[in-house]
Amino acid sequence: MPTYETLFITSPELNEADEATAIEALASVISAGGGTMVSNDRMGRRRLAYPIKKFNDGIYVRFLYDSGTDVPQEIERRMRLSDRVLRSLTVRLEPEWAEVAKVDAVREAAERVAALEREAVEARERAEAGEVAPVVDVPAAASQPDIVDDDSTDGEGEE
Amino acid sequence: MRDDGGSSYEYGGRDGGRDGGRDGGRDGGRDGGRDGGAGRGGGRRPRFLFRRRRYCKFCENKARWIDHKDLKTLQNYAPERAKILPRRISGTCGKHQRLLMQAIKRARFIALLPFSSD
Repeated sequence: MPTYETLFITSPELNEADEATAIEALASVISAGGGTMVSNDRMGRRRLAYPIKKFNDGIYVRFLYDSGTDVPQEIERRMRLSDRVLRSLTVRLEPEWAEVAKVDAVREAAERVAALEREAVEARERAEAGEVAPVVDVPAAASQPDIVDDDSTDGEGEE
Repeated sequence: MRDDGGSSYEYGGRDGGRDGGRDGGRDGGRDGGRDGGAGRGGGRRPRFLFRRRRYCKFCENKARWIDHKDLKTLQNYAPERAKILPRRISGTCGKHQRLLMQAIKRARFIALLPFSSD
């Protein structure tokens, strides 16, 4: 089965729940059509290079999936009808490109999970040592006056 | 003296035109005769000495495709007015220029790159 990549931009005015259901609805088309989703990546909010439907920014989402030819057709049809999707681009990836894209997608997903875990661990450490946090803040506050002093002395020297 | 002016190269339609015009005129006129006698037997013509050789950066990396999401790369080939950089300026080979063109047009459609600016 060929590999397709669908990039689409959803409206920035959607709240998180609406956005999630909209993305989920499109993703379900792939599984319903017998395809397999490799990566469902919400790339995040980005400024558009030019306004689309009077919006200056949008949320980019990327699907990477293996499927027959009917799935991208159906997804594109639904996106065209939906007013939540501003623009979409589906590309069939050349086999060689597809292989690399899949490996990258898997690696990125693993990295994201690792980052989340790291954050969770840090949050737990912070929670466990509640008194440590103010101590960490003090050196940061103390270093700032140093920088200001350097700047002011430099300025005086030049004058 | 005129040779120095011709060797500095900048992007822009005007520069391309000027450069081509000057070279053509010179070859046909005064220098054409002189270089023909001294240069062609000896070796290199002086106006190529200071111009860095252009090469296809995609061939260097053995690129098989150009990603339309790779903004960092694409922006280098659609500067200022967001026009696609011609390959006489960038040195991109024919094969990669076609891939690049396709990628830039896709990126424009999905609003990653502007169709025009200013």
